[in-house]
Order: sequence, then structure tokens, then C-alpha cells
Amino acid sequence: MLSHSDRFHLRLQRTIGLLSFPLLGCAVIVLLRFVMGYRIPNLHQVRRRVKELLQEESGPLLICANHLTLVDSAIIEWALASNWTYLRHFRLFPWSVPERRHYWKNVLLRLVCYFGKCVPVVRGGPPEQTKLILEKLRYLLKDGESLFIFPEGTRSRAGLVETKNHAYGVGRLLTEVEGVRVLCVYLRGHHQERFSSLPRRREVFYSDVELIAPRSAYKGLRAARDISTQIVEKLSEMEQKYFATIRPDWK
Amino acid sequence: MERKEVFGQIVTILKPFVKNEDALNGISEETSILDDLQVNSARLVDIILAFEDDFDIEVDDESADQVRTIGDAVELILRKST
Repeated sequence: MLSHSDRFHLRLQRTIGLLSFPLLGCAVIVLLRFVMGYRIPNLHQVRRRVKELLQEESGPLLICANHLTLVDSAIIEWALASNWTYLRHFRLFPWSVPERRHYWKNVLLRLVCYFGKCVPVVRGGPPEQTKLILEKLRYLLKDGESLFIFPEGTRSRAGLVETKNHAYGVGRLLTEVEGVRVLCVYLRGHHQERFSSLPRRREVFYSDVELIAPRSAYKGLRAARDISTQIVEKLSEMEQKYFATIRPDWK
Repeated sequence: MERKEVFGQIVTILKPFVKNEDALNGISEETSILDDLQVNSARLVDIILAFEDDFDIEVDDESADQVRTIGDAVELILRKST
């Protein structure tokens, strides 16, 4: 059970995030669109699809995406809804769980991540810390917040969704919170061959979304593994669709 | 089941997940699975599930989170097998 203090801090972070969102949200869009020159040609189509999918059912939302660069979450958040939509429905703007060592030393990044609803994680950290993070994430989901997770647990080293060697954190989360909708998102820049820190400048992104409700007949850790595998396999299926339709020449 | 037998079987289960194979030479109950053997933390669940299958036990999440060294794993298995 999460302590009152932890719950208070998460709520405070959410409030500060909401207050800073008009400025921060615009700054991120300016950075992505105009400084980096990124484009998502099917942006409106994706946003429309997300809106339709989310209107069909209600309940906590977990966004699960493939992972190739360090700014995937920002690009995906941009793809899924407008800043105006996030501002009106701030619970839809997801909490993220970035690896702490990627940004902790940079004070500006730390602030941006705090305002941007991030809960830092330490991969392979002490079990008590992992447990606390899972408790925070469960609390947020139960409280109706959206959550963003890369189910593979790390960037896809070979540039393809890792279906054999992925993490099971997402499954552990889902075995303990009822009725969570999982929005699978596949995002890839057309020039992105392998994993990297940033997509190249003026990159053009393909994005696709699907809503699933993974279930398992198992219990405990076995259920966590089963559910995580279902999500990762869905992402892999979406990836195959991308290569078959957009880049049939890819080797 | 003898403690030594459990220890040997655990080492056999761990071997395919070990990245630092040199650490297998001086392996003992104090050996840390993550730090010394450099097993990927994400694979710990696979290891615990292999314990469940091989020793015919059931491990809850809480107990699984407590396993850090081979000695912890031995203790857990002996406790669950009785």
C-alpha cells in the first residue's frame, strides 16, 4: 500500500504538471516539429482512431509502445492527442517511467520530466525500489490516470520488437489492476534502422494504434509473463504490418 | 531434498542466464545473481518460474522479490518444498 506521503507527492506532481503544461506542451511541440523537423503524416488519422477507441470503453489506460529512441514517448504523446485535448483531459496525458540515469544528472531534463509526469526507474535496482515504483504505478492506474510503458523494458537493440527477451513489468502491473485497457502503439521513423538516442532530423514517422485487453489463465508471475508476451507480440505484429505495407524492401 | 542438491540444481538453472561466466568458478551461496553473475534483472522471473517447474513449488511475487543471492534461492526452495 502506497504511503500518504507518496500519494500526496504524486498528486502534487500532477497538479504542477497541469499548471506547467500549456508552456511545456507547446515547447515540446515546437522542439519536435520546428527544431527537429519531425513529421507524422497520418497524425490526424491516428488521433481520430485513438479518440474512437477510447470512446468505446472506459477504464484505466496503459499505453504500450515499441522503443527505438530516447524521445519516443514525447513523439507518441504528440501523435496520440493534441495539447488542447491533454489540457482538457489531463488524465489522458500519460505518466512515464524513464530510466533515471538517462536524465537525472541534467537539472533541466529533471524538471521537464517532473513536469511531464515522469516517475524515474532504475533498471535492475533494489527490489524494494522496484516494488515501490510498481505500487506508485498501480495507484496511478487505479486513480484513473494513463500510463506509458515500453514493455520491452529497453530500446530494441536490433531495431525490431524483442519478442524473446523482454521484461515482465507491464504484466506484473496488469495482473493487479482490473479492467485496464492497453493501447498498443507502433511508431517508427522511416530512416530508423536500429536503436539510437534521437531520430534523425526531419524524420518522417509512421504511427499505428490498436486497443487490446490482454488476459491470462495463469496466476502470479506466470500470468505476468503471459500478459507481457501478449502485448509484445501484438507490437511485433504491428511492426510486421509496417514492414509489409510501408517498407517491403527492408532487410 | 539436501541443501547441496538444491544448490547444484539452482546453478544448473542459472547457467543459461549468466553473463559473467568467470563468476561461476567461485560460485557460493553468497554469490549475487544480479551483481556477480550479471543476470539480466528481467530474466529473474524466468528463473523463478524455472524453480517452480523443477522443484514443483509455487512462489508468490513477494518471495520472488526477496531473492538476491543463490543462498536466498536455496532458502526459498527449501522453505517452499517442506
